[in-house]
Amino acid sequence: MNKNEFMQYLEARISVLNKKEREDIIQEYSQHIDMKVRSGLTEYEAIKDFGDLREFVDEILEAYNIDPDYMSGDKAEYTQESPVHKAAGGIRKIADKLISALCFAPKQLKRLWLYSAERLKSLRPKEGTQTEENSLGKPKTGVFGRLLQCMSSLVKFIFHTAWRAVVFIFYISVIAGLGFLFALLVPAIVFTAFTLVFLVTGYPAAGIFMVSVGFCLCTLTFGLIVFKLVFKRERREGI
Amino acid sequence: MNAQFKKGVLELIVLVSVTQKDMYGYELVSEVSKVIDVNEGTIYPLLKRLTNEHYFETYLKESTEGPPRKYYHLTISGKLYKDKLRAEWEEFAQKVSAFLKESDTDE
Repeated sequence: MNKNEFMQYLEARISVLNKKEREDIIQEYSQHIDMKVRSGLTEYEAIKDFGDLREFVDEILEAYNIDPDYMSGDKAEYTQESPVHKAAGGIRKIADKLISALCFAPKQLKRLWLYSAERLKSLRPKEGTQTEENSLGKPKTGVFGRLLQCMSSLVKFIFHTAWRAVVFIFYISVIAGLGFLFALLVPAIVFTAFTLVFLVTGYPAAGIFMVSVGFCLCTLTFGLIVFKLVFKRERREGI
Repeated sequence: MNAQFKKGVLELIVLVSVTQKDMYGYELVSEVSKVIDVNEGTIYPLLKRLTNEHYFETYLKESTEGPPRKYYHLTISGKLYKDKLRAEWEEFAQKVSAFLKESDTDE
């Protein structure tokens, strides 16, 4: 272990102390090692003279009346029933429930969508026959009649084009929205992975981890729902 | 030397060392190392503890080489504590050697 590594280890272990005390300790030991090096020892030998590093730092913490095991992090890592493990188990249970709930929701939404689409379809032909009957029942004659017919077809054309444009904009915005969501999803997953690492190493990152997992799940599910509802439907209509 | 022996008298040796003149950490470590072979890491926490108990006062003083050094100065209550500890040690050592002598004559 060289001086830098030693200082890093020391600083990590005494992080429970306030800044002034930490700086004081760091200063003192760094000076001690420097003086040892000046007297002809290597950094490695100077640090070896401190003996077992764990015991050494334990002793420093005890001088401040601090339980050295409190900050060591070993308990959290190696004991089976640690709070971290419990939290992880809890998160897994919640995730399982969430996933099953999230699988159930799109199915119901899809059924609702199909049902409403079916109803709309059954309504549409009636309207069509009605207008056909109208146009057949009352054939337009004369300049005024033709003008009216022309106008109505123009209106129909404009309406149809406008509808097409609306549908087109809708699809474009859906695609853009999905793109945006998935662009957010990648950093979110990376962030989740990082917080997971922090969580496992014993930092109190459970809250932020759950939030980021939640964000990932929400994004994924929302994306899947939209995909299923819009694009699957489009394909069916295409066929 | 037995580690338990060392631990017991380390405090006394440190206190006595600083009685003559104020010392900085490294100086004190090398001073104590002359008397007993001690793990250097243990002296700093001891100094910290004695400082927290107000037996030591510390102050920074510029040095010709490197950053300023932290000097340890024995306070009045430190002196009293040292005297008490010294008296205890002398009584203890006397009793132990008396007992050892006695058991020698028994044999």
